[in-house]
Amino acid sequence: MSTEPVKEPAADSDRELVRRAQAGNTRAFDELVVKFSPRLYGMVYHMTSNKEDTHDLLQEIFAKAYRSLKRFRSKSTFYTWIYAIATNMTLNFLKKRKRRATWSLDDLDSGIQNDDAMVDIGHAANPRHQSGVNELQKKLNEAMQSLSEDHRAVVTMFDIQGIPHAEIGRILKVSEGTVRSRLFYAHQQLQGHLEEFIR
Amino acid sequence: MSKYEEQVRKIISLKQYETPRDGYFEDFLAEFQERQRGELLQRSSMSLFFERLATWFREVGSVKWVAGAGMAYAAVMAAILLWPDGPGTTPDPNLNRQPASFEPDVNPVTPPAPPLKEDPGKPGQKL
Repeated sequence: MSTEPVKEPAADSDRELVRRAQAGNTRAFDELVVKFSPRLYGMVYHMTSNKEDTHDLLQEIFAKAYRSLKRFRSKSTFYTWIYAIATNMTLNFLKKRKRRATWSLDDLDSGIQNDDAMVDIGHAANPRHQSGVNELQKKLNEAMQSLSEDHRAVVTMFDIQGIPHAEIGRILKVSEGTVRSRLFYAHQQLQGHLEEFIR
Repeated sequence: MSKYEEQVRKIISLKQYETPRDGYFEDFLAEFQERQRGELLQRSSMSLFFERLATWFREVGSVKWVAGAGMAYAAVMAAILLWPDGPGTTPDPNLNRQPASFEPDVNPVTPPAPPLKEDPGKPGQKL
């Protein structure tokens, strides 16, 4: 997952890879998978809060993108196009899932527990180091799962992945104003869930 | 943006550090390639041929549409002429019911005309 705000996508190189992939070059499509899977993984994971679901869904997303590639006419960038596929498929999946929004402490990623920023905030909330970090991550996931799917999508893309409002609007096919409004209400809701971590 | 909202954003943005294990994306690609290969094998060679053909036409652009139409016409004509069950090769179902020696008459025999009789002449006429 990228930790930096999304940079201007290299649209030209993507276009060339797409052109080759459309002509049947599977290696070109593999390059697109390598390039976009970390970002898409982040988006799907923060929406589902489940690694297995993320893995399966991401495989489906790339499979669908490959099958639909011939219909891609470069009206948008490949980046926007595949993000839209991923978002739609994830939202559909979440609507079907409904049965669970659980996640386990066993699922904790190794990296996050040693991250300085996470440790600082977690420690401030709970002086007992490790339990503070775990607690923070648990609260973060719960807070995210408390949001509606549409609100979670904009929070994921804007706050976590750093995608600009306009780009999110293009991906979700809504106006920039709608994106800002959803973000505002989502932040209000999150504030209630994360009160103990806000200094 | 309020101070609290800013702090919420800061805390939520920590989720970006949640990453999969090392080597995950390499394994992910390998699994994807495996699935993709499986899908390709399931598809018939004919559908792949038409797919490549369609891609070729798309690449050469609209200028070649005339040539494309000609090729399509030739393909259709070839299919009609070479199709094993096409018209002209289907046996006449009536043919089998007839004996091998049967030869249909081109000019069917008309019943013989009755023999000509002498003209009896008109009554009262002297011969």
